[in-house]
Amino acid sequence: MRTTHRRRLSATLASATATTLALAGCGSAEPVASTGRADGSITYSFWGNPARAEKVGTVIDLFAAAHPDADVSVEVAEYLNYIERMTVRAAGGGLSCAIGMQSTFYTRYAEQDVLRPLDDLIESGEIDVSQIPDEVLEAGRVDGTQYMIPTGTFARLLGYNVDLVAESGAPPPTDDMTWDAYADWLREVQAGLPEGVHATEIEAPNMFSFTSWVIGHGEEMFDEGGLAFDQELLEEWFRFWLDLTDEGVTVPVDMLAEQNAALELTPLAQGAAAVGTRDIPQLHITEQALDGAGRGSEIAEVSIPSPDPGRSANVLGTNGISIPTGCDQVGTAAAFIDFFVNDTEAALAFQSDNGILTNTRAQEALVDDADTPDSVRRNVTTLRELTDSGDLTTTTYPSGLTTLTTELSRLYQEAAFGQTSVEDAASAFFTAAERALD
Amino acid sequence: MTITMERPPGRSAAPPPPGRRRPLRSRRDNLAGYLFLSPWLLGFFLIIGGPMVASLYLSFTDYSVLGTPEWAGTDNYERMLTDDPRFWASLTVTLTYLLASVPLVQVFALFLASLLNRGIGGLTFYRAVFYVPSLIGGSVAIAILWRFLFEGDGLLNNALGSVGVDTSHSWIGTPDTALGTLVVLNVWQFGAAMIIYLAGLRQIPAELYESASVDGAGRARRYWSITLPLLSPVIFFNVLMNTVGAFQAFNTAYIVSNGTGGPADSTLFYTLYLYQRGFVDFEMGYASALGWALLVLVAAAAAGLFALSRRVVFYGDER
Repeated sequence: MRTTHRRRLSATLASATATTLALAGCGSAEPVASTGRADGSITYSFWGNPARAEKVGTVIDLFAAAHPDADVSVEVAEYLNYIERMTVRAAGGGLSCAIGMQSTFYTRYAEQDVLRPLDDLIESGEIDVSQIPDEVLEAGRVDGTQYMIPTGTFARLLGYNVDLVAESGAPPPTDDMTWDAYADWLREVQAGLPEGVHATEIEAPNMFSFTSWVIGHGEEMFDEGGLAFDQELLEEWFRFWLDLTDEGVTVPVDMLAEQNAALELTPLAQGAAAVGTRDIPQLHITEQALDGAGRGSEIAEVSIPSPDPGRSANVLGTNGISIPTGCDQVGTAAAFIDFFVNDTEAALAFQSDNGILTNTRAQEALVDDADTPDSVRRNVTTLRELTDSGDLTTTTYPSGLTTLTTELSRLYQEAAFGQTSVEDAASAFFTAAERALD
Repeated sequence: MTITMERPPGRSAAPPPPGRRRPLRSRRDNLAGYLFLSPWLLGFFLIIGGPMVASLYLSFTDYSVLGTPEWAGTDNYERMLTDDPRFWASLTVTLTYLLASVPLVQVFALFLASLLNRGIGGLTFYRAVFYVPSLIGGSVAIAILWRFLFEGDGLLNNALGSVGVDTSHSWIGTPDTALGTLVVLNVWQFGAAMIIYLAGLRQIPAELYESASVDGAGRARRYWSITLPLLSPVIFFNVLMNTVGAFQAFNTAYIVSNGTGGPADSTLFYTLYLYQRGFVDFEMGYASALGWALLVLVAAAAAGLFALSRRVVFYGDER
């Protein structure tokens, strides 16, 4: 009797395990071929706020008018929740047919065969990428295979509060500053600022600012073996910011928590710091928040400093759309991506809400359109100027970047609060990278 | 007196002989019972039991969520114990939080329950007011409010400034004080424990206090010798529930630290670290191992409390 019960219990547990693991979607499906027709129902998942969701809704209405047999619904979540949700759903094989991706994290999905290669859809003309510059398209490729169609680009720049800098008596920053010249300029700004206002936010915990530092120094961030730069370069980065904090030029280290808050609550947006790095589209949001804070009203931007002014440290990032391997409505998904990237009306409706549009023809239409807000026009113009002048650079982000981003911030904080030395913090970062990039 | 009971005729007391089927009615009763139980059974096996078994299996694998789990033996557990300083850091933070907040909640809740038990006017109003933080205290809104309260130019510093204490110290931005703000937030949610204490206090017979007064016992003596012993089962219950809750604390630290457990890991609760490993670093095998280690920890803490209760908890039916 007991043996029978035990067998039953074992069988139940085994079935529960099998079912759960099956639900967890171990193994990947073969990609489905496109029918070449947009006549199915798909869902487009992306990250963003209600304002972006509204703009996407308009794009979908336009798509529905152009493709009456197709049906597109949307699913939207805040950025971090979105990444978490996508990963869990990818494990369960339940991804939507069109999913928002970013150059900073899509590699993980591509390398695990979660994303469908899109080259056949490009070759057949279902997705037209002729208006996207090849260097931008490259941001959606892994080992030469296109997994993401870039829809928007962003670049990290140095944003400064025009009024606060003027109040300090220092000249405005320039595009060709070295890091040393930048530090001297910050000291000059600090000397003229009122009490309680600081020259700059602390950039040390920010992975993208650090990436600019590494690339500006002529090194690569990552290679096949993991981190491609020397540990000394990270130590110098930490010391650069610790010294400025000691001099009172940066916000105090205990304000890092506030610096990591929502964009509108950061020291730059609140007028508590005169300078901080932001992606191009974020500059406008920061400026809007600054209006309400009552300390200045304009955020202008210059290039990130670089030890060699001829070597750009403005790192380009890319947002895009991918089709997962398990999608069975490839024709409709391809048509939707093609429409999103190439339709001028859609471009005018979306207004570069998630990065500057990658389609050069759509960019021109957006700049020329009378209804385009000035801030959007300025963002597009700035990025085009940077592109034309060659003051942009790209990098490839590996799987595990999220872990490194967290580790950089944590270890800098430990060094800044005196819990560890700069050398030990840098060493711990390299140890963490070995596991994360393995 | 002897009472003899006779079985009604036709009913056999002996179990059915081996191989003989049980009566139809009995089987129908069982079937009905299982049918009524089936929603819970389905829920248990599909939503709790299955994932638990799967996570136990995954804890012995290297599993990045998007790939296939690869058997890793006890690597995850070995790494946890010997090669992961953040595991120990998160455990230290959680135990510090537990040891600070659980006793404070009990003291605060018992103190107010004792005050409310003295028959003051407006008892219902006060009870509701004190209970409100328990309802909203763990919410995202309150965690965000906590940030505004304790940051550098937050409400606390403004209040201190108005009485001449000028400070720009960020209580949540400094490792030395960040965890303390979360302890305060937890203590602020004393309402649920207070209600239970109040109910317990109401159960203590008034005659015992009267008898003790007649014997010359003062207020402190009555509290020490009557209230606390008779309330000890309730205290034990509250301590147990609060301890388990402290091990599971997540929301407030997640919101207040933006999910980082910062500054410098000072608010890295165990569950937050588990979450980071699973859903930020996508090390789901390791996160599963952390989950099972937490289960063992909570079980050990509960077992310890039960063992202690045999010595310090007084049940009224004891002789």
